[in-house]
Amino acid sequence: MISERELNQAQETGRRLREALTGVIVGHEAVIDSALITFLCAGNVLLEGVPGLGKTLLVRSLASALDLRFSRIQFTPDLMPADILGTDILTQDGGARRFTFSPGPIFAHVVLADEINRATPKTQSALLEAMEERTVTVGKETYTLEEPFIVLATQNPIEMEGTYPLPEAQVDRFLLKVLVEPPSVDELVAIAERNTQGVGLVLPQPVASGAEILACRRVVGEIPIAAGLRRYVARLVLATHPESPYATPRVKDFVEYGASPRAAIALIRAARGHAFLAGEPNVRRADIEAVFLPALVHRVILNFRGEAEGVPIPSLLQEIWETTQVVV
Amino acid sequence: MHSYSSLLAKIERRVRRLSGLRIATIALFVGAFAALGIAGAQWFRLLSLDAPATGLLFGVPFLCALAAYCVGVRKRRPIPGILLSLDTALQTSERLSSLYELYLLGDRGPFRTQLEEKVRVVAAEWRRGLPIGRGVLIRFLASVLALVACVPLLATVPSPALIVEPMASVEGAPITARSSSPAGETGAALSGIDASSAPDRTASGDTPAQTLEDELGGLWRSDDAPAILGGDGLGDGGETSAPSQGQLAEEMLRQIEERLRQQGGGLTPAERRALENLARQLGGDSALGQALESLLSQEEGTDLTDELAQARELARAPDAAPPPEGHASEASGAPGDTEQDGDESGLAWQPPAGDSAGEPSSDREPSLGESQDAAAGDDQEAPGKPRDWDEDRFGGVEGAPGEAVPLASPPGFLPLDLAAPFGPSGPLREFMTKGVPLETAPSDAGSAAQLVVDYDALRALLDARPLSPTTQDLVKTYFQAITQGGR
Repeated sequence: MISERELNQAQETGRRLREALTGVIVGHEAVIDSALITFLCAGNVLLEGVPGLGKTLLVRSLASALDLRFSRIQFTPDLMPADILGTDILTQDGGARRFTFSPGPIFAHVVLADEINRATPKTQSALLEAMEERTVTVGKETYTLEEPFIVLATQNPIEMEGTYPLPEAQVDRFLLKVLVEPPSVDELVAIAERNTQGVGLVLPQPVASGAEILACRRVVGEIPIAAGLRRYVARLVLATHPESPYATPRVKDFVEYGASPRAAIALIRAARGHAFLAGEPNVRRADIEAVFLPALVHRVILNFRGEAEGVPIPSLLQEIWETTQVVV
Repeated sequence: MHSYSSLLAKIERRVRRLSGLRIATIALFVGAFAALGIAGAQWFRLLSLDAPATGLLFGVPFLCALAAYCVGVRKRRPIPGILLSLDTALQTSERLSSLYELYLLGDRGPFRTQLEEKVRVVAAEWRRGLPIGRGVLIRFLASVLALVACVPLLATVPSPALIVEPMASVEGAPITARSSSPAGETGAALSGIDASSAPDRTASGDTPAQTLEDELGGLWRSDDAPAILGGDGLGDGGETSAPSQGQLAEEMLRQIEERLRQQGGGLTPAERRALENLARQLGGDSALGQALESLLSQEEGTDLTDELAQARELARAPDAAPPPEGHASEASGAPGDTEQDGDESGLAWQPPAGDSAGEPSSDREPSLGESQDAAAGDDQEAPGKPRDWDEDRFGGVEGAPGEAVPLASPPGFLPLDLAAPFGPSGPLREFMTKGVPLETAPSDAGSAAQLVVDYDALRALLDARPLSPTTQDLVKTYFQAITQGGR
């Protein structure tokens, strides 16, 4: 059980982090919140958008605002798993030769997997264990990653040249998938001003330590959610399955596979994170609504008809949200 | 947290009551309309319920509602769902239900403190989140209004089963039934007159509803029925009955006189029999009786106009009425003497002892004389012509014109022990029946099955009889009910 003081400190940490990020990133409040929620909920986030929208800057700013180790992996088609995870190398120590593990860039607190869909699926899959179990296995050895750990991946829209769609198993491990939209005119002007005046863009100073982040995670995990809302989340997730009685007609027509149970877990965790950032003492329906789309949009797979007709998954989810009642 | 636990208790109580109300109103709604259905069936004469059962019928929905309420109140509902509904209704951001989670876990952390602070604000108006539903109100109001409005409606509006076509014309108007119900007692009886189906129906033993005709039938079956219906107030109210007897005699004489004036000739056997019967009832002591005996002793072919006029004058006189004892005793002893008297008296019919109103014996000897006029003559059956209803009921009109053709009481009809006035087609045939008093219509057109109701005669009969006010009201109500729109 957390104390009042812990709660206050955690909320203060969250507030500082947010201020630090919004001081650098213009607009994109939802994206910033999603990144923070993911970090506070011990998840991973996938940022999708065309190049130049500030995805990488966001991750760099987050890493800068935290007094944590940061690493960036630029995914390319020729990137190999060992380039990410590390490998055993032959070393000589006092005349004896032996293999020593050389950790890859995955061994950091904040990992930026830039343009993750430019690597082959084999390399992409190298992140699976790290993202889910927070461990890395190389050869016969398994290494535990240091907490707090977060993978922030960016990807270009998959229909662009030279990209490899992420495997479903990989995608499912991202707590949230955030679509980064182009800035508005005012935001673009502000971005231009910040980057061209004076010394240019200055990354934020560290405002939170790893211990503070872990304290925040404990607090977030304690935020109560009503049993009725948990059932509501379950119905929402089941409604993405075409064979479910909760499914809408369009879901039945256009969806091949619905969201996995991991989606329900992600939805509740993310809703808790959202409630924490909002300063609420409990999870509200509004919190679930805020994270519903980013938590499920990458977990629903369209069937051939849906793909052929170009059915947007967000519209299906919006329909599910509007038709599923809290109180049955 | 004491306040939250007490709030939970209050919420649960209210939810149980609302649940009880919801189920109760459903039960009331269903019960009310079921009761209305049964009442409607009774109204249409599809069912027969006595008064206590009818009263109970309208109480049953409320009893059902009470029982359903008790069941609903006892039914438990999951509190988390209720609290979530309350949160949604009050827009409290799911705080009540979230606090319940912490309450169950025994959490004493800062979130509970914060939630309690926020819940305290909305706790005062929690009832607003659990209102009595519109459905409950609508069902309740609909049920109660339906019951309250329809009870008097059903009680006062006559059943369509009793409504017959208005009979604007008394003479020659065929009686047709407009029965909304196949089991409409009177409607069926009346339609049976035209369709010749009444005998079968009556014989089939259909159970009639508790209706006015049943009450009338009950009166008839009672021991004092002859005294009530047979004009036998003579026994205990001579003043009342004497003028009526005189009026009836005068009317009879007037009609005979008028017929003789138009057609000539002498008395028909039926007229003779009727006059003999009247003379016997009046006795030799009365001047009118003596005049009638004198008239009857005249030779065939003698002009009787003067005698008839004289007798009418006497009948008009106040002392024309005979001593009441004779007639009263005769009438009261009628059931046992009916058969032997029936052969002798032209007009007097006595119900057979033990005979019910709906099942008169067809074996009983008819005694009412048949009219000799042309209309009656037209009623005679032609060779090869199937016997119509009139003939079947009245024992067959086989005689030639001028002959006294005995008439049998048709099934479902009971003769009245009356010295009835003559109708347009001769002596008025009066029957106590489940329909209306009838006589055969003058069937110049050859339709022997047409029957008419002589309302003037009925009214005269009713006014002349020493019936108790209650019985008069009953009879009037009955005929008003079956002749809505008629005279």
